[in-house]
Amino acid sequence: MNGQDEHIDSQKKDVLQEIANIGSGHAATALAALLNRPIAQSIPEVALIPLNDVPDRLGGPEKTVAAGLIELSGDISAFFMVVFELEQADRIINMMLGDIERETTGKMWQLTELEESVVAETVNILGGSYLTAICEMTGLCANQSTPCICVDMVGAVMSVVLAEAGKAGDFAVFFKSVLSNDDDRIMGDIILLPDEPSCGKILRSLGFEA
Amino acid sequence: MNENSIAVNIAMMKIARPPQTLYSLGLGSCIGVAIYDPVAKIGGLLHALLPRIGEFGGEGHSRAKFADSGIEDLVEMLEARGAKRSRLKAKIAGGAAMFALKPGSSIGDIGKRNVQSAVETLKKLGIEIVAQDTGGNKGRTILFDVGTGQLTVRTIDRSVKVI
Repeated sequence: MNGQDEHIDSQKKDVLQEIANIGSGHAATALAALLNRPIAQSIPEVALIPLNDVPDRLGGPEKTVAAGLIELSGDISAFFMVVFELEQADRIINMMLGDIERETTGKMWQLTELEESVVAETVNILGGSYLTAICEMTGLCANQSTPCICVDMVGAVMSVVLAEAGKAGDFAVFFKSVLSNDDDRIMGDIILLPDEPSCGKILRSLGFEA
Repeated sequence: MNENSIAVNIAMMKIARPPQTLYSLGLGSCIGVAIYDPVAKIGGLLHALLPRIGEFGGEGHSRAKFADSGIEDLVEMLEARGAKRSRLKAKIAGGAAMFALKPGSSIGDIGKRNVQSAVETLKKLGIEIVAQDTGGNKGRTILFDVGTGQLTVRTIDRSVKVI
């Protein structure tokens, strides 16, 4: 794999897709347990895509979302992100808070401190499940930062991680799984953006030539 | 936005003449640099992701991804199409810090560094910055009317300002 090539070798892609599948499967299970309702996940997408296309694959640069960001460091260097639909983030906050009376700003894009910490904790749990699954499978070790939350346009939210990916080239390695709830409504996307050396390490740990 | 509006995505730059307009959606830490010649009625917009080509650039990198090389190329393109350097004016927007990342995070201050690089490059080229809306922690959508030089900045709280 190199920054000039838009394609990932199909066998390697299958392996990475399986990694993403296991990671997001664990995350979906954790979210289902948290919300006490079934959560389904899509077949993950793994691609090397132009930086420009990343916001388009998440609903377009101007779509407003609630996003959580976790930095991974150690053997695997990557960004883990959860990008929630705004209404779904609101539902998650309601479900998590249960009977606790909810103070609200009245604006979905403006979270109170409590609301933000609920979203952050949800992202933390999803990230932990995803990462633990990958680490167990590969034997690699990674630390996760505490999550940061941002509610804004997808393009703006993604710009920070795209900047990091952009240091290496004009393409990003992009793992995406879509989570949906029991009425088939999309809850959000789980994204992993590993750097290229980390993809190589993952492949080698499973016995593939990177 | 209408049929005369041209999108300028990440790591891109575009040049237009009236009635065409240019826009970039959802700028976060990226910097939007609008440069125009009010007499020749031509303008261009750059949507840069990173501050300097010297830091990371080289093979496999487009020049429009960086604020410094992108501005240099944009000015060159404008001049090749009849703009005069002495008449060029610039407006910049973007460079926000979207996430409240921990100090020491490798990516925390990228927005600020994008703004710095754009300001320094424009200064070096002798182009005056007549307006700017930079920093903060909100994403911005920008629309650039190349005929009037007006730059409209929208944020998710539905505030609209024209600079």
